[in-house]
Amino acid sequence: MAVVARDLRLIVRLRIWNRNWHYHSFRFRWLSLLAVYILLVSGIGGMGFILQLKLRYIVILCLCGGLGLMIVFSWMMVFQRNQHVFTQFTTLVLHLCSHFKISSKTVLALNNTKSVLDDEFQATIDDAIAHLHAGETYRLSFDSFPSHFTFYSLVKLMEAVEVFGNDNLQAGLGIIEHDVDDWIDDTYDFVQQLIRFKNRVIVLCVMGLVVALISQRMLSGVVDITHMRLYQDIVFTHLMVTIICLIYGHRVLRHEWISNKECL
Amino acid sequence: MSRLLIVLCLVFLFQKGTDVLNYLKEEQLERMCGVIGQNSQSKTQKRKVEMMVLISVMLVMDPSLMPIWLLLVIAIYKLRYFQVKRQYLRLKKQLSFEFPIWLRLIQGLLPYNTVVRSLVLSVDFAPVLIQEPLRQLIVRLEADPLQLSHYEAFMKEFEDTQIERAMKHLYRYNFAGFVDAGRQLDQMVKSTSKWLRITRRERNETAMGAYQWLGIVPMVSVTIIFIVLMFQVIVSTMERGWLA
Repeated sequence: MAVVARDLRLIVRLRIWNRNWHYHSFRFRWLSLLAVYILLVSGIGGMGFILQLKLRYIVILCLCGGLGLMIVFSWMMVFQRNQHVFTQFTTLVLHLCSHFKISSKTVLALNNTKSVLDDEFQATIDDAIAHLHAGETYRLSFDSFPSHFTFYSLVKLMEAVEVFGNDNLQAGLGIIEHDVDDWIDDTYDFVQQLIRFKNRVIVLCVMGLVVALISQRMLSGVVDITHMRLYQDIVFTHLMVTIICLIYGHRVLRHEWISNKECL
Repeated sequence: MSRLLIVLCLVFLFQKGTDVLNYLKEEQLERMCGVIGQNSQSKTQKRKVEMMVLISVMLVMDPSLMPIWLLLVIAIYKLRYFQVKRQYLRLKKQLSFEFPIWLRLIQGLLPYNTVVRSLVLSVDFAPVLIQEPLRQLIVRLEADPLQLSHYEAFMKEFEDTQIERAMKHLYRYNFAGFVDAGRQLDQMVKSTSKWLRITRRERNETAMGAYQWLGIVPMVSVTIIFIVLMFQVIVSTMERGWLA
């Protein structure tokens, strides 16, 4: 519950619904995503009328579409939050590397990094600095950050430099920076794949609707089947399956950006 | 007659059963059981007894179906192997994600520490799967740090060439000391970078695979709707009469 409240706070404070982003040629606009979903669900409702479904079936479809809208919206917010946390975290690691390269002092580097991060991460950094001042171990001090291996490599490196001096510091930080760059590239590539897959599902759903319409038109020319119970049930089921596929296709949005498998 | 048959079967199975089972037993089973932490022997013995009883009972029920019963029994026996293999492969996959991450930590520690010291410092951060073998390796290396066989024996049961390669890198780094340390470390870092990216992409592909089935659902649904409606039209047309 506390996590949900924290996420909601983050969503509202950062006005995540206003955040659109680009990565190379890929553009993410959450409003377009939502508009496409609403358009498709409306289209399915309209298709119910064209296919001469009974009103109660159309109402059920619209209700399910409306429920789906809420689910899809919440997944979009999760997606935006994940993207925000990922961006903040990678910025933290890269900036910390740069500042530590200059000063070779952990607390100073942390203080200098704070300015580029949001309130949430700033509070976490303050917490870590307080622990370091209290003489806690590095492991314990940085425990409240995401435990991604690049970050812990950096923590170990900072600890070693503070103890043994800054020989080989450049090489060590170079490895971490390189890893973070690779991680960012791989993550955005994966997110693009996920969004493309979602779009493919949408295209297939539309194709399914078109084929269903053509079939109905073709077969109605032979016999009027629209009044039959079986026709009503099967067309309703198909439209319902399409709505479920549309909703489930958006599930890719809730995929984690900082994979647990890469955390220590 | 049937009782005699049972007795003869049981005598045969008690005498030759072990040979038959040894012949059937997969060589990898013991090794895989060791990796996943299961005692294969007790379960295999239990399975032997189950098989003997099963064959005897089945023979009495219907001797003519002997080949089918035998196949069934072999399948039951093999089931255990497949269960173990599935668990083993899952662990192996987990290791393929976790090992390069742990190796990256080691590489971060190496410029400031010896190999053995770096291994010791990495224990707390090491993934759970690696921790126990790592502790064993540290104990062996502390006794004899320049022994290649200690590095080679690390997680050998997984038969992973990447792990073997990485451990040989560590050995060479330890052996070469500061003479060739920079170049050795660079080489190791490059190799691990590639490894990390490959495992990350594989993991992403697996994650994508979990959604792929969704793509065929709308098509299957529309195919069903078309077939059912077609059938309905044919039935209606026949009810009305073809010439109507």
